[in-house]
Amino acid sequence: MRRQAIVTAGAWTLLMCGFLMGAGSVETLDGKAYRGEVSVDEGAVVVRAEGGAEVRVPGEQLRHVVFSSAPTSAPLAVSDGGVAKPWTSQDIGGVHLPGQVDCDASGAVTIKASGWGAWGDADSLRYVCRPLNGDGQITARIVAVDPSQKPVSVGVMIRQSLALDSLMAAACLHPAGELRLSRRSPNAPPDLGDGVKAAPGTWIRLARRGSVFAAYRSADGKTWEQVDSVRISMPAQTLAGLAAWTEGNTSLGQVLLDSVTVVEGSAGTSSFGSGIEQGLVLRDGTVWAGSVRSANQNTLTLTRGGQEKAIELSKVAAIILSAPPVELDTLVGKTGALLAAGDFVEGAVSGISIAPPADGKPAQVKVTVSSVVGGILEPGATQPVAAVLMAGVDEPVAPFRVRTADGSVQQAQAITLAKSGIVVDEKPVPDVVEIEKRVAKP
Amino acid sequence: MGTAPGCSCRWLLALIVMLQLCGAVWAQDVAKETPPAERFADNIRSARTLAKSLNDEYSQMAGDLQPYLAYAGDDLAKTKEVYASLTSDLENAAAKWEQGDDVAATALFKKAQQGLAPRDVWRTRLTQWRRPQAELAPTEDWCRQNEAGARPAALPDFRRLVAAKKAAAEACGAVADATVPGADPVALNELKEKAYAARVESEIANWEYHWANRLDGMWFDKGVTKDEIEKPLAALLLSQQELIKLERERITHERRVREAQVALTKAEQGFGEAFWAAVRAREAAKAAPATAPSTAPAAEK
Repeated sequence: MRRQAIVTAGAWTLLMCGFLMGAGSVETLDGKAYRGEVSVDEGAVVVRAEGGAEVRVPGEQLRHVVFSSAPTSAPLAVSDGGVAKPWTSQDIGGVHLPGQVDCDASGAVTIKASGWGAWGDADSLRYVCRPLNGDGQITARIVAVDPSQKPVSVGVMIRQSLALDSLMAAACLHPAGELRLSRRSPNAPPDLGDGVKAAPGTWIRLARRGSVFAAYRSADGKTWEQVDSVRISMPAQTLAGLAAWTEGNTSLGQVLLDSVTVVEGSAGTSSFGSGIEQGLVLRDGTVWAGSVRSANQNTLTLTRGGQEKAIELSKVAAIILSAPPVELDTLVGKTGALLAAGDFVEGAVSGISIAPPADGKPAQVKVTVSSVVGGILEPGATQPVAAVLMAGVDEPVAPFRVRTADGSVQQAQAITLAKSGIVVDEKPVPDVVEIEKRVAKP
Repeated sequence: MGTAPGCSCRWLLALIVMLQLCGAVWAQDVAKETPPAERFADNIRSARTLAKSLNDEYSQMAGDLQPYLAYAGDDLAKTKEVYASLTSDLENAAAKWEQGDDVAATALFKKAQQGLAPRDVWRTRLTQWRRPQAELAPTEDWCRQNEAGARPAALPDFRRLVAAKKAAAEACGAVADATVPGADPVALNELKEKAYAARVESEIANWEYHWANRLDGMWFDKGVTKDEIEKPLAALLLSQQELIKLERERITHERRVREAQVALTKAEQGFGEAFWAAVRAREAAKAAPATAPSTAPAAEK
């Protein structure tokens, strides 16, 4: 069986401990930790660190494993002083002066740009980009901004298309010295924060995992810190690239960047309990990614891996109907309906009915929530429901938790590591990205 | 018996030459007695006063434009050179007068006077067009803060306001870019009219956004339907449209006034040229019969 091929991103974790983006990690029961490319061997995992040294950790010593693969990293392609395929360079929107891009053989790129920027409902900027299919990340180091020219905003961006009003997320350094995650999406909350202080010399990264876009910064390109994240429902085919513009669409500004790379591949998270965009969380802690087809007072039907499964509603802790606008972890212990706009209608879920999609229409969701304060409410009547929290998750009893690439989590009694792959409770599971062994608290 | 006539002429000639020499020496003596600084005091004062007023003018302008350096920085640097050149000529003219070199001083002073018109162009570029460009240009921070505070019903109007402000800023920027000494006045005028119109549209968009925001705030209970308040709502919207119509009429009227002023200036120029052409022709006609005999019959009056 093929080796696991996941690039770990840690999109919801503050990475101040040297956790390498694009690499895996292993923690042992005796407290040791290893970072690098993680693969499976007979009865063990093997960690290859950046310097090439290998460590073999037997299965019985494992406490936590996050698998990775060699990232399909693609640097900026250059040719004849400019960018080469699949990269392209163009102005987006009405720019005062046409932008320009010059590259040297090492991949350092000088961008001259004008434009109003990536904000409001129409962008105008210079964009140097390449196609990105699905999840992935783009990284660059902002070497210098030319002080003799106009102030420049510069950063990394993932956008749906070259249209002026395209969906987009961008991690950009602004002339005032702040790094912010800008976004355009009808459903994403506006970015009102001040960002973080940053200056030329900073490394920046924008990573996509599903509908989550997260911005990171680093001083050395090795240790990364998350700046912000946002959910935007974007198609799989996007354009990832470097964006630059000057203040007020006046004369050209100039900026130098290097170490530009695009990594393709789905990024897992190192945090259980969140990360699926549709599916169920069962009361025993199992998470199933899938498409919710229908539900009534007793049973829920889920399509998973091409098959339909019927689950008793009494076993369900949460139904996830679309990418939740807030982390479900923040609602632990609560019941109610989480709306797509971010509001949470708290109360006992006294009724639920989901009619399957038909005639091109989406599934019809009806949820009834009873609360002492609000009485009986049907929050789904006026706004789309992202998740229904029915009950709490019981304290798990199985010794292992296993997460797969689609975000599903299963509780397991036994894990077997073999060169041919990972076997969970005597069933081979092809796309394991993370395994955790529960350790009894002293 | 008298002296020979030739001898008297020689004595007369000598006397005249001696008198001229004495006059020149006397003039030199007079000149030596009055220092140049006193002789040319008025000129020196004029030059230095003008230099000081230009310095003050530049300092005031530079101070006012400090918040807009991202837009006006390059123009300000160029304008500073223009002012520096003018004040240098004026100071040098004053120095030359103090040295008594009237010729050099006058030449420098004239050069400075000729430079006042181009300086005026640069000042207009900065104060009349570059500064409005900066003031109108929306910033990302402004957009984020206002969009967050806008009522949902007013968001489309807010987006139109952002687009209108960008268009107005770009139009003013285009006029600023084109405002240079020797610019084609017709092309410049066209750009100016576009900028005036864009500024008004930006103002109207601002009204519409604030009206929409206010209306949504007043109509806070959407349980009150349109039917219940149909007439007063229609009257409110009609008043808004009337105000917009009047504003557009006002800008059209102002444009016509500007066009009429340009036409008047042209007409005055045309009259002046025609008048002087007629004067010259008449003078030429007067002078012509005196220089050559004419066999033509005298012209009938």
